[in-house]
Amino acid sequence: MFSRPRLVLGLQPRIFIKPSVASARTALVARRLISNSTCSHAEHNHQKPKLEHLSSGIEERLAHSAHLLEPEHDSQGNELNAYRHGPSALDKAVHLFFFTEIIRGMWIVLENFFRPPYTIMYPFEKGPLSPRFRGEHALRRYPSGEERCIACKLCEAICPAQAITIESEARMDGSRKTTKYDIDMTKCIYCGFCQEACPVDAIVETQNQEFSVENREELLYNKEKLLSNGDRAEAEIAANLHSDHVYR
Amino acid sequence: MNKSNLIENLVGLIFNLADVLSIILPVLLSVAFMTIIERKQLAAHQRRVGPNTVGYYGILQPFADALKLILKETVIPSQSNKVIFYLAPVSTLVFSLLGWAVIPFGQGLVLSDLSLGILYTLALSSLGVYGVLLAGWSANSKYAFLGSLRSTAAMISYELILSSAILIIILLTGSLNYIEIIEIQQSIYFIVPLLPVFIFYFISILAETSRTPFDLQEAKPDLQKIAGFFTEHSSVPFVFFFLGEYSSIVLFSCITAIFFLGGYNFNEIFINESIFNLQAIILGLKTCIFTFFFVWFRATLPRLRYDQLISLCWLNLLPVAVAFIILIPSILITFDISPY
Amino acid sequence: MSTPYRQDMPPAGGFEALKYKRNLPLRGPGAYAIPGGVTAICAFGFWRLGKGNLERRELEREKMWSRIYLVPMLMAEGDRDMHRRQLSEYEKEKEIMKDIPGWKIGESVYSNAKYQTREIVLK
Repeated sequence: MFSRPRLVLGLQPRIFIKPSVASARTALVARRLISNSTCSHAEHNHQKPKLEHLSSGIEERLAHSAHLLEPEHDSQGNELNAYRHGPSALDKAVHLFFFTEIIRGMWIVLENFFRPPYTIMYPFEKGPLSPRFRGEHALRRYPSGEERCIACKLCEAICPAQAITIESEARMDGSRKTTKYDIDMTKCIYCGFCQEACPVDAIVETQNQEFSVENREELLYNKEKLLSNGDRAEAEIAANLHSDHVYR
Repeated sequence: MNKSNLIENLVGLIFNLADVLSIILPVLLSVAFMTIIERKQLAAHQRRVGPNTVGYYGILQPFADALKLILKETVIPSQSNKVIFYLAPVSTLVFSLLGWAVIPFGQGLVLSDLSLGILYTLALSSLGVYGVLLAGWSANSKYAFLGSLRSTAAMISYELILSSAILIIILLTGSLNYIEIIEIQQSIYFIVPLLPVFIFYFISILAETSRTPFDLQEAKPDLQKIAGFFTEHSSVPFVFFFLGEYSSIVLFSCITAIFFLGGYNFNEIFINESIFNLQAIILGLKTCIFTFFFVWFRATLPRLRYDQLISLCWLNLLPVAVAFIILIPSILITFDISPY
Repeated sequence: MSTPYRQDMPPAGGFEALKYKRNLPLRGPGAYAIPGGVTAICAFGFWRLGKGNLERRELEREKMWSRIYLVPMLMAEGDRDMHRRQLSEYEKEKEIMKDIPGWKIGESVYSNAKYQTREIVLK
């Protein structure tokens, strides 16, 4: 089922929803909520999947107008009153001259004036992030402390913006490791191809999106910067990768 | 003229100036707060927060905005008519501020108690069109010109409806003086007998101040993000247009409060001897009701198309207005309840 | 911690049909209530206004007649005041013109015996 609480469950590693205490809600607060207000038409109703009877009676009116397309005639061949099913002339005139539809629109706007805002106060409050969110890059290590990156250069090859530059060398123990792993964050388009290409889950994109700096040079990341990002966010990265592993 | 006369005249001049400043400065302050009220109220209607950082709850935002605009560079198009280019924003602001001269804020609290106060107001609202027209023409830009033509056509059309509605009030009062209009409403506020008139009066007010259903001058889809007739105006001239626009909103709200809600009347309380002038506060609260309406309309209504705007005025509102101009005096004469 | 594999699918029975028809429920007062209510409000307003206007006319009439009744008294007061001023003017004239023989105090320039109220009254 694609309903809200389940969606929240899917994001569980990252989000902690505080369950609201139903008893603390006063009747006033309940009145102000969109979910039980009279003007909520935005959500699907799963109990009644069929198109229900519209309260405006538009179905009936449409049926009437379909019936009106072929005017009725009495026995003498005179046309009968074609407007007898529709709204009366007075009805139409009143709705025209007293702007009833505009007033109803204004009423809805006024209702919303008294409801609390939806705003998330951004630097102080933050919205939920998907575990697949692609933010600042990081290089990961094995639990032993060894770098994961094997300098296969798949990420460099796939990078559509050519933001990654890798130089490698064989180490004394024979393993191939990078001597240089630079990402030009001014070029990066955050497509996530590098982390998908990586066979050892070394290069990943973390959930950090707040890494703005004051000059461009600071955005040219080198290996030390990337490894320190990885060290700082390792628990988070591991949890995100785990929560998504069945879908990869 | 001898010396003592000269001094007397000078002192009189200074007192006059102080009188005028005591009206103009609070009005300009209220105009500044009108901008923040509009932004906050619009935000509340759309369930946002609005500006909330500068000062407590963002109430100092207009001053930050004004400071930013004043510090900007004044760009003058090289092909423009520079005298008129500067004159247009000044005339817009001055004509909307001049309207406050005849507004009575309480018993005996009026700068100039003209016996033809309503004619003065109508004349000023007509003159306000010139600021728009001159701004569009002097900038030598086709977009500014188009914007100014649109708002001029709308303003001239709706002035007819406005004058008709005001004519009905004059018929009920028998006077063109604001204080008499306020005093005659001690029996009943005119909004009660003139409820249908109030509807088309308020529509014409919205058009007259170029507010949302009628703000064709800044119609983004057609004029592509160029703010109407003041496209070429930047920095201080722009601030003047901005102030003039919002000052006319506050002014027309105040005039509406005087015409339809009895101005400073509040029948249950008669307190005039206190330190606080409650009458002025009552007038201010009534003005706030209508400024709320202005923003409420802006939050609700989509913009009218140009032909709809003109046909609404000439084909719908004008016949209704003329019908009421005939109906109201008929009622007064039939029941013999005319005020004179 | 293991995450079960779950494929997002549409709800059982499919999504409900889209509501694209104009659905404006009939709410609020009807076609007879609105003009009736407005007429009632206006009628009440005109009734109150008429009462107020009649009172205004009565007050205006009262003010006018109170002035009219006061006119004789005010005129008498004015005449008395003018006479007093005239006498004091003669006094001053006598004082100023005492050296000129044959000067008649308060003589009219028109050489006419007919009495006229003075055009100019000095203080």
